[in-house]
Amino acid sequence: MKNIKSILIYFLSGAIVFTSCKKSFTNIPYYGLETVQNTGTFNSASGCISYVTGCYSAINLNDWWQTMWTRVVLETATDNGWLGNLGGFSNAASYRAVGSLEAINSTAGDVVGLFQFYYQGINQCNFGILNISAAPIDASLRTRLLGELHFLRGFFYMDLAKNYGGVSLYNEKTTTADIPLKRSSLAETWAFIKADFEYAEANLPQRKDYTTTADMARASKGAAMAYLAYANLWSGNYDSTVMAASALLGLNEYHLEPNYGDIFKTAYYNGQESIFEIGANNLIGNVNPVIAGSGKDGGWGWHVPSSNLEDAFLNEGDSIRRVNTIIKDGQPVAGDPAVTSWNGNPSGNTSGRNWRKYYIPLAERNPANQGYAGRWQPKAYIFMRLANVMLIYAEAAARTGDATTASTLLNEVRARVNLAPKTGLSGDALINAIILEKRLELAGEYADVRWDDLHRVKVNGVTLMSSMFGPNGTYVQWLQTNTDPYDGRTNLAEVTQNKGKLYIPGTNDLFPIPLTEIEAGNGKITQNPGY
Amino acid sequence: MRSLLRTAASTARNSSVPLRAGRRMLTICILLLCASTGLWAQQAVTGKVTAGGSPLAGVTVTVQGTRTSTKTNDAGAFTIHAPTHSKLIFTHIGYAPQTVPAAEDMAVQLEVTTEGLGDVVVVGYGTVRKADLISSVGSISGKDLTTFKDPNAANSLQGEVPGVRVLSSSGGPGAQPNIYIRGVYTIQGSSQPLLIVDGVPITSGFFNSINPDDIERMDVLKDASAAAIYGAQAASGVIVITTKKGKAGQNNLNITENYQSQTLKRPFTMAGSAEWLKFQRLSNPSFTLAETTTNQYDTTRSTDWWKAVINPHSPTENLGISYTGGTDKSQYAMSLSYTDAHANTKVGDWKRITGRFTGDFRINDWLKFGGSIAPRYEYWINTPVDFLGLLTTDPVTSPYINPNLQHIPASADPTLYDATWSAYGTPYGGAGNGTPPPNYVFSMNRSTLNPNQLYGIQSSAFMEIQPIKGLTFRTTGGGNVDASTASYFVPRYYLNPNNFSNLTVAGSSFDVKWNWLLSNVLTYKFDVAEKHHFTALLGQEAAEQKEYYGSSQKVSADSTNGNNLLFAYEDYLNMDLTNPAVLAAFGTNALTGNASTTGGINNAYWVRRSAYFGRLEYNYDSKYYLTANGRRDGNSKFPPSNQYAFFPSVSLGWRISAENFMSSAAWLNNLMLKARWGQRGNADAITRSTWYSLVSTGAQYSFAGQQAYGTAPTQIGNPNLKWETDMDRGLGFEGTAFGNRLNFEIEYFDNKSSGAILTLPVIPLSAGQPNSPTENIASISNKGYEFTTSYIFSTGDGLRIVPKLSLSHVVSKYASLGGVQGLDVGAQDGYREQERFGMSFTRMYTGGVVGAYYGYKVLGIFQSQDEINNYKDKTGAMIQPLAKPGDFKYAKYGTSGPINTTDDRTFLGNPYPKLNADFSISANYKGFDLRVELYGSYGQKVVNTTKRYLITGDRASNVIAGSYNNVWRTDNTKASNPNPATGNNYNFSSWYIEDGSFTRIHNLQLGYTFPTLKVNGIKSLRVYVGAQNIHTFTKYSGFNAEIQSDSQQYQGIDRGQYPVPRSFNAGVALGL
Repeated sequence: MKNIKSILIYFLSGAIVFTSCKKSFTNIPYYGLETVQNTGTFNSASGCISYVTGCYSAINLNDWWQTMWTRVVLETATDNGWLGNLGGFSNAASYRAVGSLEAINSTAGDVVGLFQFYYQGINQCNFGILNISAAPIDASLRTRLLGELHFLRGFFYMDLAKNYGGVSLYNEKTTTADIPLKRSSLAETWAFIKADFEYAEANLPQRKDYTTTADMARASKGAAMAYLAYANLWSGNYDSTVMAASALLGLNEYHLEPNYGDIFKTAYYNGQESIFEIGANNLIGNVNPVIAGSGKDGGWGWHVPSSNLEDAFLNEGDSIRRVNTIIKDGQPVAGDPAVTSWNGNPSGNTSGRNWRKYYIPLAERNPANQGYAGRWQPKAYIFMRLANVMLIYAEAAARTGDATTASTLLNEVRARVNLAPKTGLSGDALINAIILEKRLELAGEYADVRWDDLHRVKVNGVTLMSSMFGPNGTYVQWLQTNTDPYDGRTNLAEVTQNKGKLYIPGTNDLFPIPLTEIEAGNGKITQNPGY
Repeated sequence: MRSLLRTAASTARNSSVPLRAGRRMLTICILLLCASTGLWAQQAVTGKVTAGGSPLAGVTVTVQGTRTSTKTNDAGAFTIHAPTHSKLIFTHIGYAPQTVPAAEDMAVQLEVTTEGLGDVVVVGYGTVRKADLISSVGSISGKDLTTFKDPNAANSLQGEVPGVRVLSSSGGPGAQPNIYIRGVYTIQGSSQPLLIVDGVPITSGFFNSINPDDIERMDVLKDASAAAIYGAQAASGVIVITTKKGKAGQNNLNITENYQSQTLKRPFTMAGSAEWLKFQRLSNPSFTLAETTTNQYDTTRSTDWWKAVINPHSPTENLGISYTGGTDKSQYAMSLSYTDAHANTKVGDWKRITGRFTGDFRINDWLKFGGSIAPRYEYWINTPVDFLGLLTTDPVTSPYINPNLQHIPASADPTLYDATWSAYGTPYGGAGNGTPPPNYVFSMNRSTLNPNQLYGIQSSAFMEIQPIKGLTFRTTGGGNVDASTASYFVPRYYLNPNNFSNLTVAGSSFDVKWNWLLSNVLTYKFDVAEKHHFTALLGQEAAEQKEYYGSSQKVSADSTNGNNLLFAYEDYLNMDLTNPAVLAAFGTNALTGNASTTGGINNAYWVRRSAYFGRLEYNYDSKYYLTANGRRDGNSKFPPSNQYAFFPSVSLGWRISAENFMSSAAWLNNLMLKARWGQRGNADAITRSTWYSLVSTGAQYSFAGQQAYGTAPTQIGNPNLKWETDMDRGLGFEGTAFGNRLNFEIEYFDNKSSGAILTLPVIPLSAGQPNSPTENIASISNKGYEFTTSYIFSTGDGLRIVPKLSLSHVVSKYASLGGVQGLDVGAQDGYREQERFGMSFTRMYTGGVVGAYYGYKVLGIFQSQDEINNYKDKTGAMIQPLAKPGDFKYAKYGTSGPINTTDDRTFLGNPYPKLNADFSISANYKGFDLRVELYGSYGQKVVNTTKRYLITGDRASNVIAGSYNNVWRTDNTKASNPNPATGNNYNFSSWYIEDGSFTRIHNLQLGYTFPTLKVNGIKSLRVYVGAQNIHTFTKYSGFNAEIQSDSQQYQGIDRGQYPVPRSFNAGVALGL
């Protein structure tokens, strides 16, 4: 009996050791949720690539239609456009605050949206940098992916710096304990952005070294150089702009598309002039054909060109870029033989004009020869192309006193659209010519070059935006005398507001920090002056 | 060398002579000693001390007038040498001392004097004598539970254990009360205690899963040192239930029957049609209802909604039968119970059948085995009656329109609708008032289509081995399963153009919960040098808990397409789904595609726990005590690196009364000082997915027109998330005096949880997080005291009266919120608060009490427009520019601008009582027993949201009769209530706050136990009558000052919850 007793005791003490010594007992998997662990996000090359792809999608991050609506709205706020068909788009009112310059305040949808969604993108990049740095993947792939993440983070921060000034600089080392993070100075913010683009430039392959067509659309060394040049232009480091832009030209990798209209062709990707673009297809892609399209063409008639822009082309005698930028009611559409008299739905549209750059010829539509169907169209959003870099370079050169280089670049861009060279210019006249050229070359494009330039370029310390808008703004005054038969005619709201009259010069040069951000900041996050 | 050895050997041999001589001498001496004692008439007295039929160990037996004493052993036996004709004094803490003449084979029975002190208390994986207890444990015996018969034993805890608050949740039969032990320990988790039945935690059903008749005792482990051995699950206290076991040689069949009749007191007389119309015309300019006698509205009569829905009396019946018995080798207990509780509404009830079999078997002198199994079945129909809504339903609506469907408009086809479910009037909800209120007669009757059922089994088994004296090895295993189903059926009905259904919908959901536990505990009990008593315990435990739920719903095809698939409730219940034709007819109609089936199964919950624990109990001569606990706890919810944490606790005790310097204070029988320190963990505040980083794989992008899918984070996890830790400190005195008749206990506790888990509700956009991070950043402090005293009066002729008073107090504060300045707590009931008040009632802020009310402070009522115009801030701007005469004037706290929620709210009150008091008297005389229980809470504030409807008639609701004369009108400016016409007075303000102090006569019970009956076979018979909740003394103007709440941060908000019924009961307990 003693034996039985000891056997029992040994058995039971064995059971103790067995059931409890295994720490893995409490390590149970989580079924049903996509955890980083379950999905293997950072365990494999494909997982890491897929994560970085998710960061790209943050460029257009929005909880609706996966489109960064603010990018659409910003162009309409300038002298280039109108918000358009307010009556037909019930949500448009929420975009009027910024899109028609009615009230740039800390709760305006676009003021909040750009901030919120690009910071989400930054958070995605930071989480990716943190995890991919330690991921068990091929070193060269890791280098490239980290380069892409730094590029994207710089890209997101750049849009924040341009529009909000110095911002809270979250990086991959920031932890939740650091929330809320106070705002950094504008100089620190630009330094951070440039460091990201420099990292990207050093670690990314050239576009030509990517092996597949799809991969060629990823961030490349050239894209990093272009944005580095642009970041330096914004922050006033013109020598660095020249250095970065000339390095890009020195790659001899990108070339102007000989035919200006070809840049905006349907399903035309990785063109020789395109440096960074978002591809598009019918599943996810460009919403502008539909948003900007005529109400008679399956579109919304929202976000349309102004007569002022058309006049700018006419004044310059720039017909190639005019017809490839603006479609006008009753006129044929350049490049679409099927349309001889375009119906711009002038009674339901602000200006009777439409962006040609987002128009899809009838024959190329799906289904063909019908109004737009579906929300997304296969047309790339080009963010950065060579002509833009050349003009950035030209401006920096002009500002550093190198009028020769500046004029050469300017005239190269003009030559493509059969415009006579501008010669003998220097100083402000040269710079003004370059800014005008940028307006004509890049009008309506998703990169919002006009919005940027109007905020960036100062004359006597006053931004172009602040001199054009506000109660005494030059553009606001011009609107009083505007006799265009279409422009603003059916848009009572915009006409009565005399678009831009409520703009507060100086103060509105920067967006306010969103109210929710200030409130959640517990006093650590300061508001921009004047708000 | 050799010679030397030899010498040594011889020396040894020689030395044996005197040794032997010495032994002989000793024997002689002893013999002499014996002879001498015999000479002095000394005798060896033996005997046995028992209490309540069980042997009592540790009783001090002293020869009167000498220092000779001994103690009884485990069998209660003692041997002492005492002179003939001497007297022996038997003393033991918790028992009345006895002086008995020494005799042979003495049989001494000690009687318990001090309530419970002689008892054994369960302290987790073991027991300790109450007298030796140095942690904070409140106990309640099964006998006390059955004096007040409630199908849910938690309700019997109310008032029994200081520091324990029992609050009914949403009322109705079968509803589970919430139990709070000494405050709040976590922000996001539950503060409900852990319930353990026979060593196995109950994770489903809580107190509903146990027949109160099966409970031998409940022990409430209140502080860290008592609960720490249960580890993290015990963060909010532990209630340990020990079920009844059979006793050797005592075979009893007990039959109990109890009948209760419950009555809801009508809280207010509501206005009749005439006053309601007058009131609504005053308060709402757009109120357009004219005098009418249509079917739905009849202004010539006044519907009494209370009478239409509430039963005058609702019966509850409890029937129980149990058999206990056994021999030395095996003991067993078996019970069956049946409960049928009717709601106070005409529809709604809860039925429960429970069974339990318990057996303990001694295989031999070192091996024991036992276990229990307890199946149960529950069936209930919920009553969806909102009592506030019921009272405020307008009186012009008929609860039941005519049965010929005359209210269905001519344009509709009456044959499409089910007559039974279409005949009810929709109450008046004027234009702009949103969805009209429901017709509660209809809602109530429709709930009969929504039955719920639950099948559950609790089980546990143990094996105990005692290889050597004092060493016990016990292994316990157990598991519980609860499976419940809820069914619903929506018939075709037509109530009004906005409330009808052309479709029939049938659905069902299930929920299966199960858990198991295995524990192995080694206990070694030993004494060193008689006075050093040790009990050492080492153990290990593993447990798992899972839950699955799922639901499915079928909707009939659309009736308008000619493919009319009407099905009825009976069809739904009795349908043969294996028949394809039935299935097709039921819903899945491939032809039209209109019918739909939805649903799915979810793996809702899965947690594993693993722990090691140990405890050392030491006492020196029952004078100095030390208990040390340690538990290393592991929980699968935390990140792998933080799953395990160690929680220690120490308690010290000093029996001051045992010191020599106290010997002069003979009146003081016992005085013990206790001090405690301990840590408890809490894993309740997070779900098992909280710490993970989650991604969605749905991010889309296009590279050069080619579709690419990417992953995007949806939750940035916190891999550093760890246990919440509560540090508990306590100090207390406990004692008895005056012949152990006076008993007192006082305790102070001060605990602070650190690393309390908080999901930051508001984070800056710049953090870029898709969801707010969850972190260990907050901290909560609880401070309070508990005081209990009782006194035993007894007379020689058998009268015994024991009054008992308990007082307790706790204040819970947010010591820190991780840098967050303050957070409004989201509304718990959107219908009543967020929508209607548009602002939160409570706010969390550092240093603030948990559940602090936060709103505008009312300074008075504006009597004139001039007064409004003159109410200005420092800048000269009007503070309430929109106010009208008759509106509240609110205090302005911000510097400038109109009144707003950001600047001008202030602390308006604390929902927690300043004092909880329980008072009871137990009296016995001959066969009679009487018990009176009162309890009360004092100083707590209550938010009476019902005033908005009952007094100001908002949303076309009915008002308390006479309200018209009590509201501000231009011709009645002295009124205390605001102008109902402006709609400006529905901000959360101090007007809604009232003192919620109350005293309730909780229980009155009178019983009579018949003296030994001559009837053959009847061993005992007790009959009793009683009454519960007879009266509540309060100044509170709402239904019930004792506010029920499911959330510790949202206490005291009266939304007109299910009131507490008054009940009368009678019962009989028969022992055979």
